Amino acid sequence: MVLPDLKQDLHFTAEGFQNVILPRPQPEWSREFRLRAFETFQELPWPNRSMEEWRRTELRIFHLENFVCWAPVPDPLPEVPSALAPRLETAGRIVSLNGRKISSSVEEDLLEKGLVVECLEDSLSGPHEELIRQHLWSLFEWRTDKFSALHAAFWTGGTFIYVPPGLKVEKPILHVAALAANQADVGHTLIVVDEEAEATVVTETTSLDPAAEGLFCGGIEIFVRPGARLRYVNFQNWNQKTFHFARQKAEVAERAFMEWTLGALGGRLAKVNQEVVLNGPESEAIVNGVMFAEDRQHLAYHTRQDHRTGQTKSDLLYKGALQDHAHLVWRGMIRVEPGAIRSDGYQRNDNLMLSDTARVDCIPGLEILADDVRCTHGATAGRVDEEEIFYAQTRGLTRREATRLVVTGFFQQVLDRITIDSVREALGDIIQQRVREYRSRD
Amino acid sequence: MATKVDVIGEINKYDFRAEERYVYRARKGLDRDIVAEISAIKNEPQWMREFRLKALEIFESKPMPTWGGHIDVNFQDIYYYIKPTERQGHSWDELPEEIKKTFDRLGIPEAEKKFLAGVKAQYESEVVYGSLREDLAKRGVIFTDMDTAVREYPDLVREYFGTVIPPTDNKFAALNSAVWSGGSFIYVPPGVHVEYPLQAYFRINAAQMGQFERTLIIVDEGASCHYVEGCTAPMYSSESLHAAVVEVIAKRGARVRYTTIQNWANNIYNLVTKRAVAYGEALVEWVDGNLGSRLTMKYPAVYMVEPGARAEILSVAFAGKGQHQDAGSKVIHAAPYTSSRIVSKSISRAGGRSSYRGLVKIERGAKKSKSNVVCDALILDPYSRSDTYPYIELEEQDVMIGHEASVSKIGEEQLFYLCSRGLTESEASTMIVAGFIEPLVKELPMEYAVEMNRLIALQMEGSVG
Repeated sequence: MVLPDLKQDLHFTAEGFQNVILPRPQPEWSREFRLRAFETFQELPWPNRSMEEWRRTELRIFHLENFVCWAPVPDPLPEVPSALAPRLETAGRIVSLNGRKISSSVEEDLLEKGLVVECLEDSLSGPHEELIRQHLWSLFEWRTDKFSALHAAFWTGGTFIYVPPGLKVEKPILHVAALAANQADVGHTLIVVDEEAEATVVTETTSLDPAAEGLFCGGIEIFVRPGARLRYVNFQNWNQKTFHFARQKAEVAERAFMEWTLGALGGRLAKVNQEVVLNGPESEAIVNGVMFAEDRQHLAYHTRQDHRTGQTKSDLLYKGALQDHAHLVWRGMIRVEPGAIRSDGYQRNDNLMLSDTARVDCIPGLEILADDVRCTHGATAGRVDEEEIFYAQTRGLTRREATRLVVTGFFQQVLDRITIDSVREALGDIIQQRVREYRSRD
Repeated sequence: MATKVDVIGEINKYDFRAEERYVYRARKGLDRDIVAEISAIKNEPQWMREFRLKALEIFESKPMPTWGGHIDVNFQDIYYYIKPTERQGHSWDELPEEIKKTFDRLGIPEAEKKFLAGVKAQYESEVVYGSLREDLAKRGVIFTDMDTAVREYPDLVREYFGTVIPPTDNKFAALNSAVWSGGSFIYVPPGVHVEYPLQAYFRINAAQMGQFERTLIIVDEGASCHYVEGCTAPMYSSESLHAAVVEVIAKRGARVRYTTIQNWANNIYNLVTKRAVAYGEALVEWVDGNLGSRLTMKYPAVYMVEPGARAEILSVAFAGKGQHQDAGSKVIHAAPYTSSRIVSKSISRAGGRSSYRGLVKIERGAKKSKSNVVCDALILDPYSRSDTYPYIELEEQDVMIGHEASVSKIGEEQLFYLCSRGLTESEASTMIVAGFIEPLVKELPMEYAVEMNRLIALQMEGSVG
């Protein structure tokens, strides 16, 4: 299989677009789309803090010109660190570096039954062209801001997962996305789980160099067709120097079910829009968020639960812990469209502050345009209870052990909602390792 | 320049005072001359004149807000100052039937009715409340209108005026600062407790419900008072824009409660900035009911700047046909051991939209602060809308913050139960809504509580679950 290698370095400039992106082999519709997206990219201003969406996020530390997608795939291929790969028994795997596939494999019998785990860019002109064309960019709102337009114009590589009708894939499909020093990943992920099919997809992001900067500017579009079930895990575990800009959106059709777990651990600055659209009666989505920020990390996650039709259900739980000078932002919205009666929406955000200098903004939201609904949200924030620490210490634990215990307990509620054992354990372990000794000021 | 106008021919749906007389009426529009003229008519000191002119510049430099509701106002098509003479001239019988009916249904006393309807220029406060005012004066409480206060208590006014809400705060606070007129001024000396609610009616000879009211309340150390403003009766005005500013200062250990029930006519943009500063151990309570208006944007705020300060905010919004109630509250915890509690109730019906927009902010160092926010919304039909936008910003770990909100419709089971006891569906709905807003109503002075319940019943008329 041909690696979708670039002919030369890709800079995110007009030249880069003309010389590298346009000449790439792709169907005409894709080229036309990129041209429009590039035009939009050039027209749009960089987001700034006078925009409500970006008011809490300082972009001055980000410089697009510092990043490049380089041309050669290194030889030999580097070792890709992964917290999940050793723990998961998978039905298929794909590993990408800087957004481009370096390896993929699918179990023989599933391949025969039509399961696709491939590079998206490669698949554009393959047998699934029509399917991709129907779905690609139909959920991703590429005109929203400069980052989304940049992604739509410049995207390369990416991942395409297709589960044909009725196919039930029991073991998870794993996608590991790695980033090398000062590189950019502008990959796009498209997942289509066809009618009555079932699958589990796990995406993990990781940095080769723990101390080098990196850029991710990506998008995910997920379609869960009627009656299908998808468990999806998005495990963002970049190093703490990476800039992460992502728009992720799933559409859940009638009778379909999606469980979406999001781990937000890495990144110097992360700005993520996670949206789930309930687009048919009896569709249901469960959204879990586990956020842990430390040092000077800024993690901003904007979620949206869109009830387009009635008899839909969504349940979101985001839990965040933060220490040092970290800043967490969670902004959520439940939207119920007119006529979407008997919708049931819930959102909850709890935050645990482990230092005096951390900062958290939580902004739940409801927009309800129908009457016969049940929509509720809750948000809390607080610190570790000094009495709990004291109690644990009297039982012989050190202060640090006690703090870990409290933090683990805090996350247990959301970890318990994750139905994939290995993912739940990996998340729990990583958080435990990161908790430092908690010391209150008084 | 000021012009003498005897008759205003402008009559619209709500303007049933066909033959009002004015001594002065500034021309339409807004510029330096108008602002200077308002100041001159009022014989204001130089500092106030400069304050107004500076505020005008700020108003002009600020963009319109892009959030909240849609505001469609032509600032040059408004009279910014009208000085009334005697506003009487026609009788109760001349009033439109609908309005008389509303007053009757609300059970408003005859005297108040006439004032509210604009039949009488002044409510007969001298007669009714004369003894109360005497009592206040004896204890050193100042309760007058803002224009008088600027003239008679210049030092007190100058010390506090515009310190809680500077003109730079927002576009409409700037507008108010430039053209304000009327409103209340209250000063309660240290340790004085005013046991009965101070009501705007007490004041005499003042332009009452101005378009650009300016209220300043100073409650000194250890003192307390309860101010009640507005009324449940519909307020009619030919002008479409109301931009009031209310500043409250609660000194150490003081207690202030500010109760407002507003029921504007449906053509009004009601854009109000209300803010209190609470010093050590002080308690500030806002009780806020919003009915009527085309768009209300009002977010009563409390800045807790010294340890132990407390804030309680209770608000109810009712959005009917063509109405958008964008109301909420802001609490800023800027000192340790401060606490706040916010309860918001909103009801949307007949295509109305009610939004809760609030902020809880804990500044760094405000440890052991507590805040609890509860928002409940009721949607009465499929055409209405309810939004909740609470903002929570924390810079301190040692705090306890909770927020809850829920949106629902009237429960079928509740309706069924009440109907089985012989109530019609409409009566049952009204009863459920009344129960829903009970937490606010029970905080109101008795006569307001009664009126409020009647008003809700009136609003609910013809609505079915």
